[in-house]
Amino acid sequence: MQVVKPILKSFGMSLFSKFLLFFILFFSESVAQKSVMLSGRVLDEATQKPLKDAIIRIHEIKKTAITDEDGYFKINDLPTGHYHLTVSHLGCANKMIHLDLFKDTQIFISINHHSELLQTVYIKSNKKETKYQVNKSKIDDLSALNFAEMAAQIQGVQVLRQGTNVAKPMIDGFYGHRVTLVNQGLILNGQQWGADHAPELDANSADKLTLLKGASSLMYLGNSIGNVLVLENEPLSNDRHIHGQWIYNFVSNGNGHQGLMNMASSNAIFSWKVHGGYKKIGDRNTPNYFLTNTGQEEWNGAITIQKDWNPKHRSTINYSIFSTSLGVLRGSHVGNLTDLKEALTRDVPFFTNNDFSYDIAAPRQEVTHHTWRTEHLWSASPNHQFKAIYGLQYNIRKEFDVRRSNFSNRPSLSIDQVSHMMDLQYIQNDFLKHQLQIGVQSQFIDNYNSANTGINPLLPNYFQFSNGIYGIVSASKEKVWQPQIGIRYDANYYNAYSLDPAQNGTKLQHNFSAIASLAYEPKDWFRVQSTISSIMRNPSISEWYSFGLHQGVSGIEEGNPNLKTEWARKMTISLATNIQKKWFFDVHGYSYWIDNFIYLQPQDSFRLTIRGAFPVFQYQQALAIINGFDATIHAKFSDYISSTWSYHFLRGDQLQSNVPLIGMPPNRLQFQTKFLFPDFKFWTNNQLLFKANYVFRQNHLNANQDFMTPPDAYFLSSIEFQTQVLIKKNNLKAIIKVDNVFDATYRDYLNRLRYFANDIGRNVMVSLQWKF
Amino acid sequence: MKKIVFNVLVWSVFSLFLLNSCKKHDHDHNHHESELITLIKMTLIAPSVNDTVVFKYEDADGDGGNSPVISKGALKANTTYFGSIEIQNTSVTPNIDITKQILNEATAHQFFYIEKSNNQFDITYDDLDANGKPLGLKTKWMVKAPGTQSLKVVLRHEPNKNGANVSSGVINNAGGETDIEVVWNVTVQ
Repeated sequence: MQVVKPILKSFGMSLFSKFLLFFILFFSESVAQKSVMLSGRVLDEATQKPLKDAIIRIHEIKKTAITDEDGYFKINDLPTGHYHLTVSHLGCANKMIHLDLFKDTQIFISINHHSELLQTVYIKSNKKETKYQVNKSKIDDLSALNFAEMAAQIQGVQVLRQGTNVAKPMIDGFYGHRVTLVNQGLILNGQQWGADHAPELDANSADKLTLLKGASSLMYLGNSIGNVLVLENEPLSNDRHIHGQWIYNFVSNGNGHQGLMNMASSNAIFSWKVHGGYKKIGDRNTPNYFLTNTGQEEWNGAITIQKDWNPKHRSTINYSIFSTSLGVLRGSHVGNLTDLKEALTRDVPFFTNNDFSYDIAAPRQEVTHHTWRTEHLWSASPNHQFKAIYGLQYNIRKEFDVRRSNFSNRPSLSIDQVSHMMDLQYIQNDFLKHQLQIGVQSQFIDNYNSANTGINPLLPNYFQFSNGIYGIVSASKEKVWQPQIGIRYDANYYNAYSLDPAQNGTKLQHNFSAIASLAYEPKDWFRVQSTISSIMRNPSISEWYSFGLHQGVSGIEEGNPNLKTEWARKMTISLATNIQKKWFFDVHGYSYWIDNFIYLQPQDSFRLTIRGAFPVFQYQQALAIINGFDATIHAKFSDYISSTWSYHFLRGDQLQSNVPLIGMPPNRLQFQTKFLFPDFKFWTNNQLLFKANYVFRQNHLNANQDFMTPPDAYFLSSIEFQTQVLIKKNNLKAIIKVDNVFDATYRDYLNRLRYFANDIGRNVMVSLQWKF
Repeated sequence: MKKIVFNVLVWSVFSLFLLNSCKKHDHDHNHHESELITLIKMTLIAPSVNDTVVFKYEDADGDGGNSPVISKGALKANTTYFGSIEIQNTSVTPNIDITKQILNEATAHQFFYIEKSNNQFDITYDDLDANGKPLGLKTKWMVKAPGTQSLKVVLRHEPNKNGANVSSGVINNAGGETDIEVVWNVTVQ
C-alpha cells in the first residue's frame, strides 16, 4: 500500500492524537493513468456502522454518487487533479473534504450522524474512554453562546453564573479550581476563584471541546479533581485554496450582533489559519423589565502558522487574544448586609432603567488575555511520537466598582498574571500491546496586584512554580475488556506576599493521583465501564490567603493558611446499551468522597465595619460526599423522528456537621424531539427541534444556609429550525431559534443574580453561517 | 536554512516575552486605601445652652481586623442642636478628608438619620445639594424628653433622591449603596 504524502498527516495524527477521527483516508495501489476512479465507504462516526444514501458531490466536475446499503460508493472516469468533495446525509452535518487525485483511490469517511447521540451514548474513540464532546459544527451553531454555555451542551456540565455575561462551567457540582480548563494544551490560569470571574476563553476559534473525566484527565497540570475541559484545534490541512467560514449571529434579547470569521489555507512554505470575532450586546431583559448594565462587548483574534518540515516533523505557532468588557447588573452592587437584605425584597432591582442601552458602566469588568504558543511534533515512527509545547499567557483583569467619582475610572481589582508553561509528551502505541503516554510539565505563574486601585487586594501577590509528571497506559486495540490506568505526581511551590506579614511565606505541596478504569464491551450494543480515582488537590492561593471584602459577593472572605490538601476519591459506573439501534439507554452514576473538602462557611456573627455589617465567610475543611447520576433514553422512531429524555440527579453533603453543601446544582429533566425533513430543492438538512427543560427547586438545603430560600422550580422550552443550502461548493446554513418561548419568569439557583433579579426572558436567535 | 531562520524567529519572540515578564515587580504591598472611611465624627452644638457633644465611630484598620471604637456623649432635653458630620480616612498620613469629596459630589450622596422608635428627636436636613435636594452633612435637631434612643446614621452613595419621601429622610425608597452605617446609643438627660 502506497501512501500519498499530504494524506499521511491526517492519517499520522489519527494514530497519536486523542481526538476522534473525522475521516480516515486510505490510498490503494495505483497505476499511472489519465482518468481515475474514486471509491469508498461512508461510516457513522459514533457507531462506525455504514450509512446508506449518503450523497458525495464532487464540485469541480459536478459529479454525484450515492452510497449503497453497505455504505459503499464509486465514481468512475475522473480526470486527475485537485477536488473538493461534500459528503451529506440526512441528519448529519455536511462534511467537506479536499483530495489530490492522481490514481485510483479508496477513501473511508466517518461523518457525524446523530450528533445528539454524541453526548448521550459513549463515543467509540481510539482512547477507549467515555468522552464527552462538542464538535466543530456544534460550536459554530452555538457561537452566540459563551464558553461555559457551550460546555453545558455536554452531559453533566452546568453553568454557574453571575448574570448573563459572567459564567463558568460546573461539573458534578464542582467549579473554579476544581475544574481545569485547557486551551490548545495550555492551562488557563486566569482568576479561577469565586463565581464572579468568567474564564478568558473564546471557544469559537477551536475545533472541538471535550470533557475528560477518566485517566486522560491526568495529562494536564492544574489542580482539578478529575474533570478537565479541553479546547482543541485540528491540524491545518495542506489545501492551497482558501477555506473558512463567516458567521453572523443576532440575538433579540440584548439586541446583540456578532460576527465571526475563520479562514485557512496553505502555500508552498506553510499552512495558516486566522480567526476573528466581534460581539456587542446591550442590556438583557426579563419578561417585565430591563436588566440595566448587563451589556457586553467582546473581540477575539487568533493566528496559527503550521510548518510541515517533512512527514515526521511539524511545528506550529499561534497567538490569540481575548478581550472583553462586560457590565454587571447595577442593582446587584450592594454596600452592606442591610443593602443586601433590602435588595432581596425588591420586585424590580434598584437602578433599573426603563430604556434599553448598550452602555457599560460600573460595576464592570475589563479582561484581556494574550496567549502565545509554540508546538513541535515529531512522529518518529507510526508507533512513537514526541511533542513539545511552550506557552505564555498574559492575563490582565480589571474590575470596576461604583465608587466616588474621583475613583470611578480606577479599578477596584486589578490583577496582572503572567504564566509560562512547558509540556513534553511521548506516546508509544506498541507498549506491551498497549498505548503508553508519558509526559513532564512545568509551569511558572506570577500573579501581581497593580498598586493603583486604592483598595487592599483580596488576594496577595504570589509566585507559583509547578512541576508534574504522568504516565497513562490504555488498551490500544478493540477488545472486549478495555483497561486504562494513569498516575500523576505534582510538586507545587507557592511564594505569597500576604498583606499580613505573619502569613507571608512559602509552601511546597506534593500531590499524587491515580485513576484506573475498565470497560467491558462484549457486543456492540452493550458497554459497561467503571472508573476509580484517587486525586489530591492542594489548596489554592485564594483558599489560603483571601483576606478582605469580596465585593462581587458582598462578603468578607477569610482564607486559612493552615488548610490541608484535599483528597478526593471518586467512583463512576456507566452503562450504555441499545435495542436494535432504535432505543438507546445510557446511565452514568458517580460518587465523590472528599477528605478535607474546602468550602466557604458563613460565620454566625457579622463583621461590624463603618459601612455597617457584612457577612463573614471563612474557608474551612470537612469530609464531603457528592453522589449523582445522569440517565438518558434516546428513541429513534424513524429516520425522521427521534426523541431524547434525560434526568440529572445530584446531592452533596458535608458529613462532619451533616449539612447539605451550598450551591449544588438542582436536579433537572430534559426532553428533546427532533424532526428531519427530506431535502427540498436546494434546501438540505432541514431540521426542527423542540426542547424542554424542567429544573427542580434545590430542596436539599437547610433553611438558614443562604440569604434567600432557593428559587422555585421552572420550566423552559425552545424551538429551533435549521436548514442548509449548497451553493456550488459553498454551504450556507441558517438557524432560527427561540429560547424561553413562553417568556417565563424564573430565577435559577446557580445564578448569583437570583438574589436581585429575574432571569432573562424570551430570546430569538438568528444564525447565518457561510462556509467556503 | 529556512529551518534555522524559522527557529531563530520562534525562540527570539519567545525569549522576548520571557524577558519582559521577568521584569522585577516589587512584590510587597504598597496599596493605600485612599478611599477608605475610618472615622466618622458627628458634632452637635446647642448655642442656646452653650453645649457641644461629640459622637465618634472609628475603625482605624478598615474592614476586618480590630473592632471599631465608638464614643458618645449625652444631649440635653428640650434643646435645639445643630449637627455637622466630618468623615476622614485616618489610615494614611496625612489623613484624607472625605467630607470634601462628599461635598463635591453632593448630588450623589445623602445621609439618613434613623431612630429606632420615632419620638426622641426631630431631625431635619440643614443643607442642600446643587439640585435643591438634601445632603445631610448638616442637620438641625429638636431634642425632646429624656431617655435613651438608638440612632442609626447611614450614608448612601448614588441614592434615588427623587424616590418617595427620600427628601424628607425616609430611606426605604432610596436605594444606592451604603458607604457608612453606624449606630450610636444616644442618651438625653
